[in-house]
Amino acid sequence: MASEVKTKEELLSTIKEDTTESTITTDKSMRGLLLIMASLAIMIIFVIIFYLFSLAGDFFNQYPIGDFFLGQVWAPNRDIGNDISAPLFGAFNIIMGTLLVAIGALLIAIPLGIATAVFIAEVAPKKIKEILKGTVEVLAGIPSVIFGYFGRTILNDFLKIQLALDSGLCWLNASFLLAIMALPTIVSVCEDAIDSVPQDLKNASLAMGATRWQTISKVVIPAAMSGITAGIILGMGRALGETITVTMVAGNQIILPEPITNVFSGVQTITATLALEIKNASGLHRESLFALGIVLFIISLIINLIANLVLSRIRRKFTGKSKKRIFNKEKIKEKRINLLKSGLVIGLIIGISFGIVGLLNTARVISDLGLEFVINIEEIGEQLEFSISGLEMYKLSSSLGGIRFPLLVLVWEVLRSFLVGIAICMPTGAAIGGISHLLGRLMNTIRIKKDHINEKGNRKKLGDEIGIHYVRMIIRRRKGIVLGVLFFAFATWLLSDWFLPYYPEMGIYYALLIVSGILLILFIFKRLKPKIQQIFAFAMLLIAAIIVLFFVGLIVYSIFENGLPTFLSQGFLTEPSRSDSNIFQNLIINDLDVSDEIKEYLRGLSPIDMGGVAGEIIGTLELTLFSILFAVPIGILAGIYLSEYAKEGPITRTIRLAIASLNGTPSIVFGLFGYVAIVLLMEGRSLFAGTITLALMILPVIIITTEEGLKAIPQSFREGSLALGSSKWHTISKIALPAALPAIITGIILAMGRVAGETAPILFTAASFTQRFDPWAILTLDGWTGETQALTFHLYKLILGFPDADARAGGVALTLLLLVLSMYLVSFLLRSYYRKKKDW
Amino acid sequence: MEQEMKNPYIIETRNLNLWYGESQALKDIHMNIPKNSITAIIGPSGCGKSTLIRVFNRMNDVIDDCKTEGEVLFHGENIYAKRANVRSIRSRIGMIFQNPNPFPMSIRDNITYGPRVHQIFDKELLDEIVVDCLKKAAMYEEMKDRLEDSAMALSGGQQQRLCIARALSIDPEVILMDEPTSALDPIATGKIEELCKALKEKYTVIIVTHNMQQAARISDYTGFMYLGELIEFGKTEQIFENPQKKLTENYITGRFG
Ligand SMILES: Nc1ncnc2c1ncn2[C@@H]1O[C@H](COP(=O)(O)OP(=O)(O)O)[C@@H](O)[C@H]1O
Ligand SMILES: [Mg+2]
Repeated sequence: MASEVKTKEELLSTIKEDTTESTITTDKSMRGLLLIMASLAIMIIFVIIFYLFSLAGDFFNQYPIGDFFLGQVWAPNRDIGNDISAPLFGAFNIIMGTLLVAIGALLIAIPLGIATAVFIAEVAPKKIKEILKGTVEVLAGIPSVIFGYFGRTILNDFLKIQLALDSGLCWLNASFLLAIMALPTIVSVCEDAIDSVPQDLKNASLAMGATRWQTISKVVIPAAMSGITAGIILGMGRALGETITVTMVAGNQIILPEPITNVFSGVQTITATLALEIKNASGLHRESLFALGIVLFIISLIINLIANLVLSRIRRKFTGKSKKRIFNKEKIKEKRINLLKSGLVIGLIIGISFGIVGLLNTARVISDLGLEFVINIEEIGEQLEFSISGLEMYKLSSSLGGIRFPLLVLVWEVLRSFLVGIAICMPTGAAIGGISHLLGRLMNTIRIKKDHINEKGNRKKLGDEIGIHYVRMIIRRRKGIVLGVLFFAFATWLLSDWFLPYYPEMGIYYALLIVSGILLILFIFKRLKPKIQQIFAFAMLLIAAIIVLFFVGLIVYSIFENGLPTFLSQGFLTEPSRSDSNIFQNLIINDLDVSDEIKEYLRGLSPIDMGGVAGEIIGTLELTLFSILFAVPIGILAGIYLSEYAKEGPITRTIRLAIASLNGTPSIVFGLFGYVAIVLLMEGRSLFAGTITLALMILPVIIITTEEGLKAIPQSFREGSLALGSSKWHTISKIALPAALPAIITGIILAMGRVAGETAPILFTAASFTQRFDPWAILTLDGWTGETQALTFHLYKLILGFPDADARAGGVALTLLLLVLSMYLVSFLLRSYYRKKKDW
Repeated sequence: MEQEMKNPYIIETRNLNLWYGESQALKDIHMNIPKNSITAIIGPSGCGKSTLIRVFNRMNDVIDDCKTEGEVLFHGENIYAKRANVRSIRSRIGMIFQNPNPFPMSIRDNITYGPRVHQIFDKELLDEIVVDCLKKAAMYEEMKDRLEDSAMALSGGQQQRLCIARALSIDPEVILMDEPTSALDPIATGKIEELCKALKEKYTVIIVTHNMQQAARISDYTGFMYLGELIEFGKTEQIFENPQKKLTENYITGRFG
């Protein structure tokens, strides 16, 4: 007994020692490390932004910005061949194409998505709810190249045959598929928003004799409106940034639909332009593509910022009054100092980002110099390898002794942009911090005055709310007029010929008719008995849910139907693709300058079977695994910092916003960045470049997953540990992190599924169509600097380049689908396993 | 009409039993609630007070695996009969919840919500209802200049009174209140109690409370519940001064363990 007491005392004394210096240092150094990791994340986004901007800036120095945005002719290669007129980079039609496709997608996705979300959250019985949620998750997991495959085969045929079109590859096709692809985003965000409406509110409505539908439409949906808006905005971001599907199905014609309502016209988006042109572009053409990329990036940034702003409103919505601020001199001083600090830190981060951009720019200049040098030598008559890198060039030039290569210039360039960055940004940041603080104070005084006026009842509303009020009043008063117009429209419609052919010029008129028809239906609907309203409304919701179910089923089924025979054929999964003559023959046929019929005939001579896809599977797995391995340490540490250490303030908010924006950035923008920052410098696509690009893309997902996983752990767990005297880091690593681990792992596996299904980021950073099959190549440097195959890219190429390779394409699609969905399944099973096990 | 005159009770329960899944929350409740009175239901937490009061306007229908047996008569008609119209029952028996739950809309829209749900769209009538209900809830003077403000900006006590005004907007006969003051400070509580007493003139009020002083202060009748059973029901003075059951006495005198 006595000895036991002694050990206890010993233990206790070690604990007490533990809480002194050593733990405090570990705690501090952990904090520092985590902060660095979090800053790394924000640095990455700054570097991407600044770098792409500087590249686009180069372009606009040489090409008038007005001609770029308003010009209708996109002819980048006009100086090649006989045509000697200057190339034109009028991007108007491309930008319009992007917007049209996205808007079309939203018109389909918004009603479908909201209806499905409402159905899932409020109407469906438990079991059906689970099925629908699972379906939406499966939908989120289907890779975009598979949507492209579906659009090019089934949807294309359907449109062609049913509507007697020349080609089913058009705006409608793209918009439709994008709508389906945007659904998971819209549905899940909207459903969360609807779910978070307190049961209390619904009870209040029901207790007054409202029907469930009245409660949903008048209380739940308005209360969830900001979340629903955010869902729509995020869905729009998804639609704007999608690359592969659009490239495959939109027809890729750089024209404005004629007339603008012609949904059967081919269009080309920004993303498709990037995907199609960047590989063969150089010089001004390449820079024009960077400018396009920047346009896309800015659009998506704006969309993300708005969505985040709206989402952060929700949290305040049900808590009511905003906290009254206390005017305390010391607090104000403390606040100003905090803002100053934030400004300095953000300035430092921006400065470093500038430095990195400077480095990248200089490196690019050097590599361009290298190219010029090679060309010069070629002109002299010497033969030299074209793929010489800047660094080798530098070595070569200095060994030749002829050209003194400016190494100092490089160092100076980096240092200069670094210093400039810090010198400009740190004071600017601090100043902005100070000014915004002062502004905040000013606003507060104004607000107090406004409240005062309100209490006295002299004035009702300030600012734009007056506007809204009047608009409402006008609508109310003018209801009669609106209805009159409506009936008039219908009357003319009925009087005119029912079988009027579709005159494109009449597009607006038809749109008006549809709108007035909807208004009329709503007008009548509002006057039906509540019970009958409910029946109609629920039927509509049910139909929406069935449509979603149907299309997910159709896509998955068609992939199975087309791909199963090939998938099951012997050796498909275990053998490498065969580089037999067929492939080369086809590659050559594609490039031949003959008519399509002759190409068709030539292809017919050699039916396609290119062996198995073992190499592609291994390539995909490698890309996935390595990018995840690269992103996970940074992501988890940054997530821990944000959840456990970061104080809410300007820095944290900026970091969080940057991460959220990075998360919503189109994957092709990452591909673009990887291309300029790595591929151009390394002079070739490689597994390495693809891995880094994918890692950057997936990093924000891992940070967010970690942060949310940790946030879900009750604070009482941590307090319990801290109250026993253990250090903060000890508490995190022993209590919080283990409890959050299941959620984090689940999130990581989901991220793997997403990486495995991506095409756009590897399109010009890593992927090749054919390559030797060597699972062990990654053990050598060559394996890392060489290109790699991937299922997604293989499928993309097959469909675009080999119209006859249907059977093979089906097999590859099925393999890819099964691979990705199995990751989703694992994540799903893990989650339900842990949920059952969870005992708090 | 004649029958109604004879029957002094507005709500009566007969053999009322209720289960949440397997567990029984109400056991064989017999209870008669007189018209134009305040009836308090007291008892330790978890004894089924909320469950019972939610039976009266069928709010338990919202809960998935809730099963009700027996009869609940409102004006002599069983509200659990197959052909009963739940919506009309709820519009005749209003409810105030424990936590103030105004809709995140303007004060005016909160009050007009009920009439609009029952398809009253006439603007002038709606305006009349707003003024009328605010007056009944004794908050017209406070609110008349800020009808367009969000209800979320009101204090807890004001929100709860707004909820009462909202419940009055569809002119119910009975008002159920489930611990309406437990989230409020003493002054706001006092205002709500005053309001209850005033409402008695026109309405029948059934109030659940865990605060015995409150029950003694405002109610005419009191029911004491314990473990899902109605132990005792009677005039408030009688229950507090001369309880018939040992259990009631123990609870009221605070000797309870
Ligand atoms: N929705 C529900 N599902 C299952 N059991 C419930 C539910 N609501 C209440 N109960 C149970 O019914 C009993 C009575 O609850 P309640 O009526 O809320 O009591 P009181 O209001 O008196 O505190 C409690 O044991 C409670 O756990
Ligand atoms: Mg209760």
